[in-house]
Amino acid sequence: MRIDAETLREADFDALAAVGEQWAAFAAHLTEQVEALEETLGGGLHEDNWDGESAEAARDRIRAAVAGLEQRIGPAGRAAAAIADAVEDFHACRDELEALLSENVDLDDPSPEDAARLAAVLGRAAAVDEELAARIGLVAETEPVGAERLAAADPALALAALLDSGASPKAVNDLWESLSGAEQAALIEGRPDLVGPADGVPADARDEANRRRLDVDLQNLDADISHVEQQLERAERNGDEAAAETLRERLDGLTDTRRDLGVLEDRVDGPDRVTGQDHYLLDYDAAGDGKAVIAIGNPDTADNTAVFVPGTGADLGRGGDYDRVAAMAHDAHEAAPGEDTAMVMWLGYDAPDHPVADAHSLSYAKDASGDLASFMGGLDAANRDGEHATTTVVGYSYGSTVVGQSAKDHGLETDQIIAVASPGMNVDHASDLGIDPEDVWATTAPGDIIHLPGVIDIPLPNGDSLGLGPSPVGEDFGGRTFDSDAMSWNPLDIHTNYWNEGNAARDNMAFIITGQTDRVS
Amino acid sequence: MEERVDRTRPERDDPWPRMEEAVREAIAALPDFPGFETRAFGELAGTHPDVVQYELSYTFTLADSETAKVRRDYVTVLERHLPAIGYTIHSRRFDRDGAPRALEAVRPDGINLWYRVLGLVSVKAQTGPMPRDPDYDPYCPPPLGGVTRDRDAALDFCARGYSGEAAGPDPAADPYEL
Amino acid sequence: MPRFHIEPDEVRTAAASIRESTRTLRERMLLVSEAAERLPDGFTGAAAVASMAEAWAGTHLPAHREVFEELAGHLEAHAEEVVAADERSAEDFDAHRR
Repeated sequence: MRIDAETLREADFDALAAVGEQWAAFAAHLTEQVEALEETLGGGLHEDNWDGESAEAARDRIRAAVAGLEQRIGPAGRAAAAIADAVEDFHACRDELEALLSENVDLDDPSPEDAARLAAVLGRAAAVDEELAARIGLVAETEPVGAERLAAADPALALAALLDSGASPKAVNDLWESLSGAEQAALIEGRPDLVGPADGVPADARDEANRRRLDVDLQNLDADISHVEQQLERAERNGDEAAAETLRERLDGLTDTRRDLGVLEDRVDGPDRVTGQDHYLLDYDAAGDGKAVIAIGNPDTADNTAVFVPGTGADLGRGGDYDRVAAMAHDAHEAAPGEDTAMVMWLGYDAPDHPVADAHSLSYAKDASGDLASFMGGLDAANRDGEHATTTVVGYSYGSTVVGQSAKDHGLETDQIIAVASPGMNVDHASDLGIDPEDVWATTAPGDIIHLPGVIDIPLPNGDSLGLGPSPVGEDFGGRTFDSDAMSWNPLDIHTNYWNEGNAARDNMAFIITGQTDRVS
Repeated sequence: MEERVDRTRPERDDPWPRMEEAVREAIAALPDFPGFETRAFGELAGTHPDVVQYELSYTFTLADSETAKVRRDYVTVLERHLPAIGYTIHSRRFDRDGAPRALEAVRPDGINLWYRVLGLVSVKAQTGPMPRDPDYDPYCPPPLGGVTRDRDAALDFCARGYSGEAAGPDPAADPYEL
Repeated sequence: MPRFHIEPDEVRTAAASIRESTRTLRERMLLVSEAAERLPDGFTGAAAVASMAEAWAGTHLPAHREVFEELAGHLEAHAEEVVAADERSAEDFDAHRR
C-alpha cells in the first residue's frame, strides 16, 4: 500500500506503540500465569496431595493446557517487538519527511530532485509498513475462525501432551490415526512445529509440516536479515562502530543459517531424477551444526528402507553426506529396479567436528542414541506393511558407533545393520545389537582399522572405556563381513586418513539393503 | 604449460569433461547402442573432509538392461576395446551363475570406468581421490546417450553451461569452443 | 466437612486459581483489543495488528479459557465427590461405633 505524505505526517504512531506495549504486557502476564499454574501443579495438585489415575490424567490435561498457553508467549512477544521496531522506523521516516518539508518543498509541484527525495522517504515508510504486516502475519494466526478451529485445538493439546510426556512413537501413531483427515490437515497447518519432528507421524504428513516450518523459518530469517541490515546501515551512518560490529556478527550468523536452510530447501525440491522418487523432509533443525532427516522415497510405503547415519564432521552444509545417500539410493534402485527402496539420511545428531579431539568421547553417541531409536520406532509404527518391508540401518564411521550405542541402550527397530568403516560400535558382540548376528554386516578398510588416530581401548573405572569397542569386522564379533576393494586401481597416491569403501562394497550394500543377501560376496 | 588459471575457461583440473570423455570412448565401441535413460553426478565422500572423489553415472533403461546384448555382449566388447585404447582392466566380477557383474578399467590419467551389471546396467566414470576444491563450480557438459532433462540429475551439480534446453547450449557460452 | 484428609481443599484452591487466571487473561486481552481500536488508518501493518488482536481476543484466548474453565469445573466436581465420599464413610464409621 502506498503511503502519502499527509498520512505519514498525521498518523498517530503513539496509538500503534500503545498496542505494542500491551502485547508486551500480555506476554509478561502470560509468563506469570504459566508459572503460577505450574506452581499449582507442583504444589496443591502434586501427586503427594492427589494421586491415582484420574489425578494423573487431570494433571496431564492441565499440563497440556498450560503448554498451549505457553505457546502464545512467543508470538505475543514477537508482535510487541515488530510493532516497537515499526514505530521507531516510522518516526524516523516522519522526521525525514518533516526535515524535507521544512525546506519549503512544494508537495503539489515538487522539483524532480525533491520528488525523488519524497518518493524515497515514502517508499521507506511503505517498506516499514509491509515488514510490520509480514512480521505480524507470521504470528497472528488470523485464519477463518469457527467451530473447526476449536475442534482442532483439542488434537493439538493431545499431541502436545503426548509428546511432552515422552510417549512412544507407537502412541503418537495411534493418536494420529485416530484423527479425522480434517483434524490431521488442521494440525499440519496450525502446528507444523509439533507434527514435523514427531516420530510416529506418517512420512507424508511430517514432510508437509516440515516444509511449512521451513517456509516460515526462511521468511523469518529474511525479515530478520533485512532488519539487521537496516540497523547496521544506521549504526554505520552514525559512526557507532561497537554496535556495528555486534550487528555484523549477528548478520553473519543469520546469513549462514539462511544459506544452510536454502541448501536444505534445494535438496528436497522436486523428485530424484534418476529414480523418480519424491523427497521427504522428515525433520530438521537449523541450530548448531544443523540437523536434517531427508528421505528419497517414502519409507512408510517402500519395499525396503535404509537409514544412513553419517560420521564425523557431518553437517547440513557439506554436499558429501547427501550425495552419498543419493548414490546409495541409486545403487539400490539399480540392484532392484522392480522394487521401491527408500533411503533416509539421518543427520539427527551433533556429529563431532574434530575426529581426533571429539570422536573418542562416547558422549555424542549417547546423546544421539535415544533420538535414533525413537526415529526408527517412528518408522516402524508408521510403516504400512511392516511384515514385508526390509529395514536396514547403515552406520558410517562414527555413525556406526551411534548405531551400536542406540541398539545397546534402547534396541533398534530394524531388520539389519551395516557398519562401514567402523572404529567400534561400543558393543563386544553382534548379538548385543539386539538382532540376529546373521543380519549384522560390516566392512572396513583393507588391512587394518579405520584411520582415526590413536583409537585404543582402555577401560576406565566408571565402566566406560577410552575407545569405542572391538572392530565389528573381527572374527570374534560374530557378525558377517563383505568385501571392500578401495581403489585398488588408483595409480595416484592415496592420502593418509582417506578411505572410501569401493565399488564392490557398494554392490554388496545394495544387495543387503534390497534383501538379496544371497548375492553378497 | 600455462601457469596462470584462465577464469574464462573451465578449470584445467575439472575432471568432469574427462569423465564424460571416458564414457564416450567406451560406448563408441558398443554396437547397436540403445542410448541411456538417466545421468547423475556426485561426490563419493570418504573419511577425510578435504579429499573427494567424483562419480558420473549413466544407466540404461530397464528394458535394455534386461537384454543379453547389454548384460553380456557389451562386456565382451569392452574387454577387448578398452585395453586397445589404453585402459588397464583391473577388476572383473561375476555372479554365482557365472554371469558378468562388473568390468572395471582405469585410464592413464586415473579416471576409472566401471561397467556395472545389476538389475539395471550402468556405465560409471570415477576419479581417484582428489583435493576438495571448495570453489568447484563446473560447467554442465551435455549428456550422452540422449538423456532428457527430467532424467538428468547431474544438472543439480552444476550451475552453468548446458541447461537441458532442447535447442542445445548457446554457442557463445560454450566453454569448449576455442 | 471432610474428616480424614485435606485433599479436596487443595483441589478446590487449585480450581479457584485456574478460574482466576482465566479472568485475568480476559482482562489483559481486553487491554490489547481496546488499544487496537485506536490504530491509524491507511497502513497495512496497522490493519494486520488490528486483525491479530481481533483473532486472539475473539477466538484463541476464549478457546484457552474454555479449556481451563472446563478443567476447573472437573477439579471442583472431583473435590465434591471426595467430600461426599468422606461424609458417607464418616457416617458409616459413626454408625459402626454406636
